Amino acid sequence: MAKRMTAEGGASTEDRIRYGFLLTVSRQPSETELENVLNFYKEQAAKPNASDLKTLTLVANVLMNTDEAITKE
Amino acid sequence: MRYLPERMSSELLRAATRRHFFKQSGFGIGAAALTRLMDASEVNPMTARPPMFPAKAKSVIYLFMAGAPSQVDLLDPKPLLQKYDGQNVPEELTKGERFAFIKGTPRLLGSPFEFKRCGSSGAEISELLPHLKNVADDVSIIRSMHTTQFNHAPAQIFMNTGFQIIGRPSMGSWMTYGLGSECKDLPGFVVLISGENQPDGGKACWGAGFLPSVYQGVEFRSQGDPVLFLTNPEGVSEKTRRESLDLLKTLNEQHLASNGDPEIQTRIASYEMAYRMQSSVPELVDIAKEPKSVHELYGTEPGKKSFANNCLLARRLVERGVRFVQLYHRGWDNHGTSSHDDIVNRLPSLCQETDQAAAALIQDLKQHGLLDSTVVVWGGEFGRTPMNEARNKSKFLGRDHHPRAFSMWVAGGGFKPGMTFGKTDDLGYNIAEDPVDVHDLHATILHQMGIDHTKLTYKFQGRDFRLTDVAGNVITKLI
Repeated sequence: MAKRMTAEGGASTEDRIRYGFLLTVSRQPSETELENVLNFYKEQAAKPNASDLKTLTLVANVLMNTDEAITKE
Repeated sequence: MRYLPERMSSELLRAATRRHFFKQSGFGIGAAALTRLMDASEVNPMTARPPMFPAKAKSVIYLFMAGAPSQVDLLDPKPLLQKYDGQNVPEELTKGERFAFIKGTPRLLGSPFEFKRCGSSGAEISELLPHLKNVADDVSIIRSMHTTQFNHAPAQIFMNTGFQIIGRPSMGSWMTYGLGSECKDLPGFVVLISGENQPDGGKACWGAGFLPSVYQGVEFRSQGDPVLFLTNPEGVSEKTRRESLDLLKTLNEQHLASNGDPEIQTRIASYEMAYRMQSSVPELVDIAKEPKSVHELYGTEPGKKSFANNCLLARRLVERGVRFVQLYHRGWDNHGTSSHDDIVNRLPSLCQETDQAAAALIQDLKQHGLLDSTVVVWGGEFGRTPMNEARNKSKFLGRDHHPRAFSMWVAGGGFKPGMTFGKTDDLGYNIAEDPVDVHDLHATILHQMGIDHTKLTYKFQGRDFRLTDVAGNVITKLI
């Protein structure tokens, strides 16, 4: 999913995260959600040995495990 | 429905979903539930809560002998049954009776096993349970249990939830709903399984019914690792795991705030529990570190699937403050259709699989000073007929299902030790004295845990439900 977010989501991290929401919960993130996820991305990307793909993999892992992604509403 | 315009039908469908209901009902139930959740959101739903009155016990270990053991071969000797062995059952006893398998007029079947009085209490226990004899003065035998169900699945559901149809919360769920758990790093209600197969009642035996599902029993695997995936994936540090979970929690909490479904709260709690279990479970299940004397006492072999390992785990769970531990051992359904399910071959082997460890559990709890605060319950979902089943003229001896009278034992947790309670008639067919039904047993166990069974309620479908529903009396003679 991180690969798809990179290839299909757009050039900016913000766009890629928005695309991650579309893929998992079929909607755009709220402003707060986007901010939360972006902060997480920055935190993880600053770690040694971090790469864009690794960090987006962590983001994808979180999004796929949200209650909204798992539960049919 | 199919003639409605597509858009309208999808709206109607959406209106019918549970989540949509929570969201749209505004000041209705959704809002009420939300308010309650928001109050509680700072608190783990499993936080230990004080009992209603000073409790004798803090934990329960329930050894569920699924399949239903034979009381007349184990705990309720009947000399007259032996005397009249092979004769037709008196007609007045079975007139109008419906059996699961027996057809025609069955013949009485005296127990081929010897009973002796043991301990200073003089309890009568079968030669098949030599280890139980050694702890006879610590247990109370109830010989006057009865139930309304005569098939395994509904009887097991009834014994666990107080109702024969699935959908009600199990006793362990009521317990954790009422009292929480004193162990924050492990589930408050743990289920361990050994024996031939899963209980017939399935996972509903430890289900939470209409209670929030955070209170349902958590089943550990019985072989290999009891819980899978405890280690982080390669390259993911514990810190990264924690930070990921923090984000996940934040997103889920925002979803909960806009939506109000208590099941989201359950998911948040379950992720957090899983994180804590990454460190608590390896420590818990490492039974190899127990001293040799303990392994000899239980007959445990680390790594093997066994009732004994589960008994030892039960003690370790209770030691850590877990509220309710339930063990299942399936195989007691001894109809006598072959040597694999008869009372001459199979019943003794089942006793061998379980007797030593069950008795060891009592001794071990006592040595750890935990028996006084732990209720130990042993028993099946019903009893077995005093008559030979002889299905299709089978030559193997066996007994059919018998809900009218059966035996269980209880120990610790403030139950009177060394007592034999209740009586059945001379053939063990009906109860003669002090009947105890399933609700009475539940009421009494709840009482020992400091819960008034009439006051622990949950509103569902417009009325208050309880484990004992509208029945149940605390059996004061037992405590």
